[in-house]
Amino acid sequence: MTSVTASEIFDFLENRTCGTIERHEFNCNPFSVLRRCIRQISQRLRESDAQDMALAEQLRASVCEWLTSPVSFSKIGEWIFLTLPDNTPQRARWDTQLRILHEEALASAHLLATTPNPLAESLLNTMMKARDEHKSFKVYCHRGSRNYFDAIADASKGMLLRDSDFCHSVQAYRDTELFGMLIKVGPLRSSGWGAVPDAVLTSPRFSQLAQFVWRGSADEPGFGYDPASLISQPAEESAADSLAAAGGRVSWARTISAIGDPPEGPAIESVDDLASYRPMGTHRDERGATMVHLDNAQGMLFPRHAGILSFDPDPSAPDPISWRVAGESLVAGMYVVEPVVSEVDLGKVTAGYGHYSRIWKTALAQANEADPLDLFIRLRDAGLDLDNLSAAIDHWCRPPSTVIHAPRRVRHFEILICNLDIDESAAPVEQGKSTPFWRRAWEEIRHSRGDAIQAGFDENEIVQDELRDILVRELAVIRRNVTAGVAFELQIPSATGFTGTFKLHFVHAVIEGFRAPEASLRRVLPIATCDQWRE
Amino acid sequence: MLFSEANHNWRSLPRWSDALIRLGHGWKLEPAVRQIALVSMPCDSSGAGLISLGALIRDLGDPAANDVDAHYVALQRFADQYLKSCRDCDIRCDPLSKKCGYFEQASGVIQHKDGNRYRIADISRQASWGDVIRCSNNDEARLVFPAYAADWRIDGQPAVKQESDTAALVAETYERFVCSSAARPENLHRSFSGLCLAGRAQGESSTREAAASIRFRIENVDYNLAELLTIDGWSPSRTVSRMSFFNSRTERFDRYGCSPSLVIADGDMSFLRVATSRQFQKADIIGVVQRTLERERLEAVGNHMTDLLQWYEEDTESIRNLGSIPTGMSISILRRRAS
Repeated sequence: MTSVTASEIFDFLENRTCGTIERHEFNCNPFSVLRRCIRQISQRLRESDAQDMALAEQLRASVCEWLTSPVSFSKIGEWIFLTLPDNTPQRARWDTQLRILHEEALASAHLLATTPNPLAESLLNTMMKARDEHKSFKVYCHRGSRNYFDAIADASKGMLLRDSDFCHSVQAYRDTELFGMLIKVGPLRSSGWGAVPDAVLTSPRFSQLAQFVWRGSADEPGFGYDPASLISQPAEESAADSLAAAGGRVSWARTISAIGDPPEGPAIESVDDLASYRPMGTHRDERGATMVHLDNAQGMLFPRHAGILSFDPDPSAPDPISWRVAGESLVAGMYVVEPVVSEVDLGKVTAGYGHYSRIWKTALAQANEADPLDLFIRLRDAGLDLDNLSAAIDHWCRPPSTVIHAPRRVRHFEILICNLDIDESAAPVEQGKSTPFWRRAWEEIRHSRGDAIQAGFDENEIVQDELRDILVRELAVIRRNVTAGVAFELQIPSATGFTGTFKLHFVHAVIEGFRAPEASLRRVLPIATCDQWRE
Repeated sequence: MLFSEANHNWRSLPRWSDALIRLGHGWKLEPAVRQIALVSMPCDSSGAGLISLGALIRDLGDPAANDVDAHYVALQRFADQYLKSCRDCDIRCDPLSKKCGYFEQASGVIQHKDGNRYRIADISRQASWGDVIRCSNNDEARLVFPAYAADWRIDGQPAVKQESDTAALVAETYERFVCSSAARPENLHRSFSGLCLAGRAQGESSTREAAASIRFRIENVDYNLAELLTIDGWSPSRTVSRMSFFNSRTERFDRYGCSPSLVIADGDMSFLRVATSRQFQKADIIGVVQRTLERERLEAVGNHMTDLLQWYEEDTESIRNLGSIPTGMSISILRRRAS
């Protein structure tokens, strides 16, 4: 709970008249060249072989980190030599352009290795000056970036950064006291690397914003979003520029100072790396997610709008055990239920030994038994170009289980059937229709696959519903165990047919704005792990 | 009058609180033109409670703002629902999933001012009285006549009228907040459910605690905002209730058959829930949100306001009438376009 009152915040905003945003814009030509090379390498790798995707992602993440943290140039150089050494094995696959970019990147890294980072130096001076003048400040940064700030403070030999000097989340910002200066490395963006809450402009708890950015890193258009100002203020208008006009709004005065090398040549063009990386950063296997903040610096990520089995301790709640959506119906103060259940056998769906599959599988088995090589060659010549065709034929001969084993693609199935000696007279006759045998057999396979998929869904749904019913029956026990803010476990009664426990995690907060891999969803993870998937 | 927040020192009423009370007090209900307002605040606050207080003070001066006049109709509706639907319903009450057309259960139990409870038996037509509600308990059967309807209340809900002065509200307390206000003496004894506070998604206690953290000292007597709002059950003294409460976590009203004309929603989720609910289709809405939220949540609210622009237009006149707005607060008011 915040310790600063609304009256104090309003008094502060009334008295401060106009805040200042001091934007320190840095340029270092070798660093610009390095970033350009890394950006282009990353883009090219993404468009080439799949095995280089991980490297492309690594490069992207590193550049984003350099732009939003005071990473020393020597560390950046080290990283380049480790990640992209001149004898990197990937080079063998790369085209000439990629090799040129690689060499250029290495040359820039060499130059940087002995150069001090001007942004880090200026940042340190600002922090030391503030400390000397007893001016309170806070650094807004990603939790994982704190060590870079600590490193430059340690190197100064006279400065120690405390936990209270940092702010890592919108929730922490909401609860913070009034202070003198907010320090931000990187542009003002509402999501992605270096994201800050819009509230730093619309609801400042400080009078001065010291922003340290690399040349080209532009603030997000429309940053400083206020839902009540949308109608009279176009969304793309920067809040810092427009808020000054209206009576009730917070006003800012901006100053920009350019520091470092003058930009030289077309190679050092000013490109917003963070903006250009954004469309590349979306993975196909990642999903938009919401984090539920639990005890002991742990969290669980759930797909946006997913139903979460949860318990509402409010005695007046009509459905204490229910499926809720994080951020909508699942809110702080409730409990997320994590069932830890051993496998449950609900019986299996078996595809019927269908009319058509019986016929073509018999013919296939006979042909395979009679002369497997001949069958192989016939099918191969007809265009069934699978790498492991022999094994596939054996697999297709197997009787149906949950599905009818058959080629995955309809074209392959047609080739298979057309190259078998099939007795179609045994197949059911469709009155007035002349659909070829292979197409009718394919329909049968399609249905069996659909049934199996549906059975998977149903099975999951049955288990989930059953677990919810057990929790409802155990409600009195759950209520007895509840202590506000504390997680607890509940044994599943053995009579239910399930073995295992329910873990009830207390929800401290619900935080949106994540994009995480499927495998990381619905698992209890350290907050630091979850943080890496912030959008 | 002095003001204190979160047990801090007493001070004069701050400008932001005064502005919100005046916003509630000055809200003009126009039956034919629905209005929706959004107030954005720089921090968490009990802004919704302060607007509600202003609207409550306005309603104290409105002769039509009472539940007495329509109380018998409300009792009849309650009895009708109980007799036609709830009495014979064989499932746990969940009107939304049963799709019975009602929003909540009618228990069929009513209470006389003497404290005795009765279950409704039927509605019968009497030649001289018109429709009367017949009810009974183990000891006796009684009739509820329209002329004496105010003696009865739906079980568990505030009395629509309090005869004794000790249970009535004190006009002077409320009139101190807005100099131009004047409470009608009869309203101090009567409940009203046309004004509604929609609580935070975290639950009723969260809204109540926020309201209780704001205190006023009037003529050396201390009051907290939670008790001044007269929401049923929020004050230790049993008095009339001039405001209904909608629990946006459970999506339930604190009383039966509420149909408010003005709803003040506390928080972004509460605002979205109220603004998209069928139950509030005709009510004016004032949402109070804080800006120290994630962008997604702010955008959900902003997008809803922008969507409304298909049918609504910005009410520049109302905004102009608000006068100077404290720094850090922004207000947007929409009014439905004339069709």
